[in-house]
Amino acid sequence: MKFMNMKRFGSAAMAGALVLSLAAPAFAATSTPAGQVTISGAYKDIPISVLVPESGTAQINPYGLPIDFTLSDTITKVSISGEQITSAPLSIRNQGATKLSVNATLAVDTSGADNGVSVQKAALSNEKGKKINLALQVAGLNDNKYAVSSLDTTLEDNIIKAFADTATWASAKSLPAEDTAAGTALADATVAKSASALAVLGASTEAAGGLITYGKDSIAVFRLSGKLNESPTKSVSGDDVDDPWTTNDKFAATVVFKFKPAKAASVSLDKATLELGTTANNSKTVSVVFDAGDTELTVKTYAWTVDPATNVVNLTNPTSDTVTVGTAGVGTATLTCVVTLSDDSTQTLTCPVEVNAAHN
Amino acid sequence: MKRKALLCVLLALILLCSTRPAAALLSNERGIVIEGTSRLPVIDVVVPASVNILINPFEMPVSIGDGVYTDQIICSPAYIFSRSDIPLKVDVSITASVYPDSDMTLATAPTYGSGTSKRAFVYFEMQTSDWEYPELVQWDPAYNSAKHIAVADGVTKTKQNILTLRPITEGEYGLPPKNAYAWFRLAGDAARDPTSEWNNKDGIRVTVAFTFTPQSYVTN
Repeated sequence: MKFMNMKRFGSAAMAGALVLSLAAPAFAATSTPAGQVTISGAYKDIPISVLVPESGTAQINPYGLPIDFTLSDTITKVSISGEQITSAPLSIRNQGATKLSVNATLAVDTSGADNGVSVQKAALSNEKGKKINLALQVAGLNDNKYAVSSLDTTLEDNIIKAFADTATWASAKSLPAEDTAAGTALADATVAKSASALAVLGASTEAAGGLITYGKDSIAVFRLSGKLNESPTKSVSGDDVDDPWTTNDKFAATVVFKFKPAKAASVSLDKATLELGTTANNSKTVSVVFDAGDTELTVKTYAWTVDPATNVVNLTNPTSDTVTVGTAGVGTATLTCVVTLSDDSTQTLTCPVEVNAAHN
Repeated sequence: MKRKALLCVLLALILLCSTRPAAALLSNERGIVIEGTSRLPVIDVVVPASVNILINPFEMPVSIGDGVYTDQIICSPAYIFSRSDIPLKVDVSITASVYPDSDMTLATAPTYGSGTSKRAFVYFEMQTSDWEYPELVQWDPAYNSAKHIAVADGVTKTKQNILTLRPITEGEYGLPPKNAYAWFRLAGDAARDPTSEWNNKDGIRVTVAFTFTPQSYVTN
C-alpha cells in the first residue's frame, strides 16, 4: 500500500515537472548589461471588427427551383430561381474604422454524401455523374441605403433584397472550389485561395453605446453558386443508368475570410521636379502614375495647368495622363494636375518647374 | 484521495498545455461552414386508376354523367392534376391491344365510318382545362397527327412534353390556377357496317403511362 502511494506521488511529481518545463520560457531571465537598450519589435495583430456568420445553409437545386426569403414583416417574400446551387442570404459586415480588403479560402467536404457527390473545378461539359462546379461569390454592396445604424430595421431587408437580386451578382468576384473527389473529408480537401481581393469593405463608425453606423460600402453579400448535372447517370455493367439526386446528396463548404487593411488608390507623378533649358533640353514629359490598390477605381479625367500660365512654359496634351512641358521663357513655374477618379474624388499633384540656360 | 485528485488536475493541465485547435484561425480571419443539402421537387400527381372506353359504331346515345353522347368512340371523363410543388412536363406512352377473341383491327387513319373491314380508329388526346374548373375543357374537333396519338395494336407510341401541368396549389385566392387539370380521352371512329358484325367479343385494352419531369428553372 505504501509502495502504491509512492508510485502515485512519483507520477504527480513527473507530471508537475512536465508542466513546469512547458511553462519554462515564461520565466526566462531578461536582464541586460548596463548602458544597453533593448528595443523589442513584435508583430501587433490587426484590430478588425467584422461580423461574419458562423454557419450557413446551401441547397443542391438541380432544377433551379425558386427559393423564397421572407422579409422582416414576415409576409413579403423575395425569391431567387434558376440557380442550381442556392444559399440562404449571407453577408459580411465591417464594423471597424479601417477599410478592409477581403480574401478567402474555400474547401469542400464531400464525405457526408452517400452517393458520390464530387466537385469539379473546370466547367461542366456533359459530365454524367454527380459533379458540382462550385464557387464562392462575394459582391460588395455600395449604396446609401446600407449606410445606416446596425439596428436599423430596413438594413436586413435591404441585404436580403440585394442577395435575391441577380443584378447584385453580375459584378461579383468568384473563388472556384478545387477538384474534390467523392467521399473526401475536410482535412483532405484541396483548399482554394483567392489570388486577389474578393471585395473591399468600407469603414464603419462607432457611436456612443457601441452602436455601429455602416458606411455605404461596409457590407458585402456572399453565397455559394454553381452548376451541376440536372439528370446524373452512373455506369452499371457498362450501361448508363439514371442516378437521380436524392436527399442523401450533400456537401459542407468551409469558407475562411481573411481581412487586411485595404490599400487605397493612389496617384503620383513620375518626376518630382522639372528642369528645362532655354535652347537645349527644353521639352520634357511628366506622367501621372495611378495605382488602384485594392479598389476598382479608375481615372476619369486629367487636368494639367501651369502657374504662371504664360512666359515660362507651355503644355501639350493637358488632358491626358502624360503632358509635354516646353520652354516659353526663363523662370520658375508650378505644374499642377488634378486627377478625378471614377468615384468623383479628386487628387491634386504638383511639380515645380525651372527654366534656366544652365540646364541647356 | 487527495493525491488522486491532484494527479487528475495535473494530467488535465498537461492535456490543456499540449492541445491546439486543429484549424486555428488568425486574428484577422473568420470562418463559416456552409452545409449544402438537396432541394428536390415534390412530384405528386393524381392519376385515375382506370377509364372506360366504349366502341359505339352505330352512334347510339350513351349517358355519361349529365351528358348524352353519340360518338363512335366514347371515353369516360378522366383527368390528372398535380399536387407537386413545381410545374411538370408530361410525356405519354400509349400501348394498345385488341381483345384476344376479337377479329377487329385498329386503323392507322380515320375510317369516317366507312369500309367493310371491322376497323376502329382510336386516338389519344390530352388538353389542359381552360380555367380554374376541371370540367371546362375544349377538345379538338378532329384528329390532328401533330397533337394526338393514334393507338396501334401491340405497339407503344410516345409523345414527349405533350403539356405542362401546373401545381393545383399555385392559383390565387385558394383556387387552382389555369391549366391545373389535364384532361385526356380516347376518341375516334369505327366502320359502321363491317362484313363481320360488331359483337361483344370486340374491344381494346389501352395502357396509358404518364412520365412527369420537373420543369427546370435553369437557363444556360
